[in-house]
Amino acid sequence: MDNDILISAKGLSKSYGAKVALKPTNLEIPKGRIVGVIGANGAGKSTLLNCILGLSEYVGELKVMGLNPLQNRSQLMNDVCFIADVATLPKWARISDLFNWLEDLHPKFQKQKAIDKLKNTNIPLNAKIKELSKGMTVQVHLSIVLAIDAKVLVLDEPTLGLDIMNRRSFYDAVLRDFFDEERTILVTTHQIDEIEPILSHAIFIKDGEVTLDASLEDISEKFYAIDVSEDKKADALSLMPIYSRAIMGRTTMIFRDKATEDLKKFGDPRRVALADLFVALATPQNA
Amino acid sequence: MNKFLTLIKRDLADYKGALIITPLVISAVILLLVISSVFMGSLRVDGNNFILFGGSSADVNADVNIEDNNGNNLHLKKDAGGHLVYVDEQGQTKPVMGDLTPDKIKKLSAMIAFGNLIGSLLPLFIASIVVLFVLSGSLYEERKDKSIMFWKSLPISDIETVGAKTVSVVGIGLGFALLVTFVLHIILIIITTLASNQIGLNMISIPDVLEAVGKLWIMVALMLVAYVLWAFPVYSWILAASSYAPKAPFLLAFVPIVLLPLLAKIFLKGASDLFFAPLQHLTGYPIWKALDEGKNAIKDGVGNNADFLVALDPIMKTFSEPSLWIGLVVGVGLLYAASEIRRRRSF
Repeated sequence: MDNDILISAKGLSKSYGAKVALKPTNLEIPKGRIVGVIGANGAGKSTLLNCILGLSEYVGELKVMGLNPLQNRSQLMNDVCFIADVATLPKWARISDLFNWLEDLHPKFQKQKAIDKLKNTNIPLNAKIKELSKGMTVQVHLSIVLAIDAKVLVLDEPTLGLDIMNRRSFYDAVLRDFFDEERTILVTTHQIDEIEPILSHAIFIKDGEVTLDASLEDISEKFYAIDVSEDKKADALSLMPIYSRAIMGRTTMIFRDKATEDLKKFGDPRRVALADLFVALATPQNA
Repeated sequence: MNKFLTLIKRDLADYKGALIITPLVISAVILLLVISSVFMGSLRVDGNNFILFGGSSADVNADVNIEDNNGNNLHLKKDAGGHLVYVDEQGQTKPVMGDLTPDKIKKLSAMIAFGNLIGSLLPLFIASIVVLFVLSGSLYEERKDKSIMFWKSLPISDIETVGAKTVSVVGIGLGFALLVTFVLHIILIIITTLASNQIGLNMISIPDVLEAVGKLWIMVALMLVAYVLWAFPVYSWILAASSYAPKAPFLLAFVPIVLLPLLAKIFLKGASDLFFAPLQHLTGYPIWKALDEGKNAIKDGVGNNADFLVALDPIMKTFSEPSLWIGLVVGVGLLYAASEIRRRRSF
């Protein structure tokens, strides 16, 4: 296996009874990236992450850092951290107790580092998790995760329910204290705009199917958006845009694999925002 | 090893209320009842007078006269040495306890130790039931509150988790209840001794009591170990049910155990003992049966100064019963099943 490939999946799928949550999927995620897994509610994002984390059974071949996550979850968790989309810290526990236990349970957890991170907040170390707000609980979880010297950080809608201030400080902390070229972050979120500037790779999922798996570099080379005036619309349509949207007298079109020289005839080709590309690929007319 | 101990610490923090606080509260209630009955009971002795607490608010000081089996009138009082004596119709003063020979004192010491042990066993008995509830919720609750996602984000295997829960709930839970039982036993003996001394009944010797207490503790501890071994497959079954149950893990765990023998009795006329096996393992039936066989030894031990550790022989014999060892193997299998279920499903 290529040493730079962190996660590789072949025919990975997952069903809950008759419901197919993840259709057979092939993926290769290199290390040192910030990967956004983007999809609507129930699209299969969390299912994909749960398979990668060894949290649920799956069909197909899956390797994370060369290990089968379902068979070797505990070994894998030496190098992988994750924060799920719901508050998962045990509500009955005190923060100080959690830190003490983690010191023995995780060989790469640095208790003092977690305490120092918590000192930057107004959360008392002896508080019980059940006494904390959703935002505070995420902060505690983040202080734990950032105190672990891991290679992969998986974040499943980590800022769900947080206000804009907390969301921003969350991602700032992750970038400042975790990310470097050797480490990888997998993140799912609804707020695509907020994480787009930090992403280096994007995976789109729709109805359990991966509709896009590409680096941001590839995306910016492959996809272009143009605001086409009414008089050039018919000619532009002949270039088969994957998506078009008419609003206030202008039509925005998104093209895939078209030469910029050809597109320049209709307007200034620009990079497509991930949110627009997601909508373009998810809209039935472009399926 | 350090990791395993930390998991046990974590589990004890989670189940502190059920496993640690409950036996302490039960013991405190027992002590409160005993102390209140001793110090606020209806009869106390003060000097030569008995203080009677009647229905009225006023205390009544009175001499007490009682009749013996032959209808003779006896007058109870304390002598100059503080011993409880009675004066018969001929005016002769005799000790209430008769002449306390060393042999009698030894018997009385054993009786005091044994009698108080029965009262002290309640925390252990309750703990043995509480453990079943805690086990049935142990692998279910972490899925219900989603904390399983956090624990699974740590390098801890499922078998370590299930093993730690078994040790912390069954081992530490029942072990702590046993310790509480022993401490309560000693306190009750001290209270009984003080109370009887107060009314002038100095009827025990400390070495004799300690000897009886030591033997009784060995008996109780060995019976508990035997019970845990017999109940082990049921504990493992409960953990597997807890790991699997979409909801109501207690029902999933116990309905089959209770229904199986019932259905077997109705439809198979009790033809197969196999259906009764889970219930027998859960209730520790073989231990009670063995205890019944050894009850005469206990009676002799308490009443005739015989060695009542002989009563352990039938219990020790249960260790050689094949069904115990089959149960242990099944228990290990079910424990592995519980960990596999936990590994494969997180929600």
